[in-house]
Amino acid sequence: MAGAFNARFFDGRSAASRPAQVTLGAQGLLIAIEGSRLAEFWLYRELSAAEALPGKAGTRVTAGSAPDAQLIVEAPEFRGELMQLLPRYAGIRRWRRHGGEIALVIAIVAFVLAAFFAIPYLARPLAQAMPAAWDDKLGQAVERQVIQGRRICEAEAGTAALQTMLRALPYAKRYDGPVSIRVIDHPMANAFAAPGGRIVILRGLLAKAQAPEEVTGVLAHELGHVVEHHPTANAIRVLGVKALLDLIMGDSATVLETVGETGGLLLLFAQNRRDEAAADEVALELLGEAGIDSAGLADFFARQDKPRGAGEDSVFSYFSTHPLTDARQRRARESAGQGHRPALDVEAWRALRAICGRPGKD
Amino acid sequence: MSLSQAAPAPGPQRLRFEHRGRVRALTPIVLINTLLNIITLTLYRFWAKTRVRRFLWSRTTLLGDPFEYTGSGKELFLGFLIVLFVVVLPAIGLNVAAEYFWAEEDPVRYGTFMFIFYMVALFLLGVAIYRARRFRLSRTAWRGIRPALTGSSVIYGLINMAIYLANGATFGWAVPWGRLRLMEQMMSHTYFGDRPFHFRGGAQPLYGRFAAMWFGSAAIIAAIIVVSIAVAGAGQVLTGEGNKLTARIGVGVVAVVGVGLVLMAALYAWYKARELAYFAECTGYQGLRFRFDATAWSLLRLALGNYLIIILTLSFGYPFAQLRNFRYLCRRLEAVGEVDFAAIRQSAEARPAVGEGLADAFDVGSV
Repeated sequence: MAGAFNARFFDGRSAASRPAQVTLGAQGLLIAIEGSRLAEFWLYRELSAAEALPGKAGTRVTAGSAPDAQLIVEAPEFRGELMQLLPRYAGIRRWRRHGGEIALVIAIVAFVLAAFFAIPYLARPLAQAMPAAWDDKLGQAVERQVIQGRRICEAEAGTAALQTMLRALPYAKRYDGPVSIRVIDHPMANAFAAPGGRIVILRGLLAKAQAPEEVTGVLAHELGHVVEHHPTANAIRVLGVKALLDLIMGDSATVLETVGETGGLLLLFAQNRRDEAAADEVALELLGEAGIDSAGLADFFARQDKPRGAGEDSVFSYFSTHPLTDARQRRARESAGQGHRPALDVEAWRALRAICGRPGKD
Repeated sequence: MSLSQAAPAPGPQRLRFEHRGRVRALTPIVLINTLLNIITLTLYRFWAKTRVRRFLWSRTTLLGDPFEYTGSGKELFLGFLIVLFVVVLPAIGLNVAAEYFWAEEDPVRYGTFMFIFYMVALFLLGVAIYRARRFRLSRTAWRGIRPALTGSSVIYGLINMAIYLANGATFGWAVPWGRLRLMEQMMSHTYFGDRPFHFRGGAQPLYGRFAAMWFGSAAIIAAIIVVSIAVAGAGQVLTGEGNKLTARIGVGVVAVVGVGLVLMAALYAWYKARELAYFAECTGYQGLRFRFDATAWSLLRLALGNYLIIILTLSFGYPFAQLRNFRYLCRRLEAVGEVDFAAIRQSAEARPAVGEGLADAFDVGSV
């Protein structure tokens, strides 16, 4: 058995430092405090920690049986000798102390990941259950964001032509909310659907289209999004992912936030591909029921720019929102030639193209 | 009693804190924390903070005996969860509802709501600071004895809010008084073991330097405006000289603004040094008085270095800044006088079960 070690003993009841002599016994530590007739005896199995202090300042020993009390032994060999007497306990305690926390961290991470993946699937039912008034409020905000102060094009004949086009498509069977269309003075050839049945067509699309059937096709596609509640579901997804990130991150680094949001966006894109296909399906049905030829939609797709050198199975096509024009065009072609009703007469078509007060070309 | 006689006889002492933390020893902790923070979308931060605190506390010694941080990451995480559900989520809900129902229909009511909302947030900020300190002290030990913070965090929150408003109303002239009042509120409720700290002193000694700083800063701002206008005016007169001169004028204006800002920072450091030293003078514990040797130049270096560390490491290196703060504090703080450690008994204050949720939400007291 080893001899006695010099130590400092703190009894946990006062802030005094008492010189002591520690002996490693068979069952425990015997602590003889100088100037006191009493001695402390700590059983090895009751020790709660024997940690090395930084800077080779010795070993600090604490015991569950003497809360707040501690013993500091400076001699470097003390810790090794103590450990030989209690190797079993040390390892177990270490795992007990950290095991719980590790499990907790893993559980939290699993929960957060589950929440991230649940948001896209919850978005659809939530969007359908959303009261019409909320939907409309949300739509106003999104539409304002899209328009961003640009001019809304209005001309009597042109607006009437838009309404004619909309009325021709039998969407009301599938959607009971209000639907509105606006043309915005913007050169890009694009169209959007916002929550609350708000469809926005950009002037560039009217300029690029070569026949009213193409515009009707795009309109039917956007109506497909509306019918399927995609815009609201999308808003819920974007806001949900962002809110979740904001909540768990508190004040933390913005870099991480960016990384997290990019991850969230990739998730949204993956979902979007399915939305586009679903909207196309609805569009083809609407066109079919209206007796309008879906070749217009196919023609429009054919003129859309393809993503750089990307075929259907390339990685790029997976990450872009409006790709796969080939497949969509093919699908539209399949059902072409079924309808023969003109979407608009020549007069109305001309009025629609001039709705922003410019000649048809730019 | 025989036990207290065993302690060294009390007499006038100079107690110095020492810090032995090294950057090299802290680096692995920071690297692992950063990695785990990224993997867990920062949810590991509670455990990361705990590891850094253990490091910083354990390397601080007084009379050769180390401090100890006894808190756990779980306590911080639970504190965060509670505040998330009790404060943050309801606050977001209220905010969204108010915007939805009032923002357009009733701007007056909405404005009133937002004013109250921000007042409550300001109040909670003070509460957060106080509660975080209470938690941290309750998880600290030296020689096995714990400090404590008693008193009401609500009162501290109210004082903090009132002082904030007073600062705005007096163009900053309430700052020295307000800071002293908050410090007094905090220190006179701080204990080590069963004995309280005390804080005595008025704000008058701070106002000399404060006035010099205030007028100095005002003069610098005025000078920047005058010089910028003059330079820009001269540039317009000489526009015929071409782009080269215009570019030079731009550089000149930027330089003037930069020099002005540096001078203002130096003035502030000069005031802050006095404030820190004075707060230490006002503080006592048993027979001990405190002295803090803060100087303007050293404070400026400390702040600038920490700023650079945080910027360059995208705030992941924050613990290195904390390490520098600890070193600064330990190198320059000392306690002089008499104290009988054997007479200090263990604190009997109840300890909070979880901690710092509010502080996490407000990003305060991130030590």
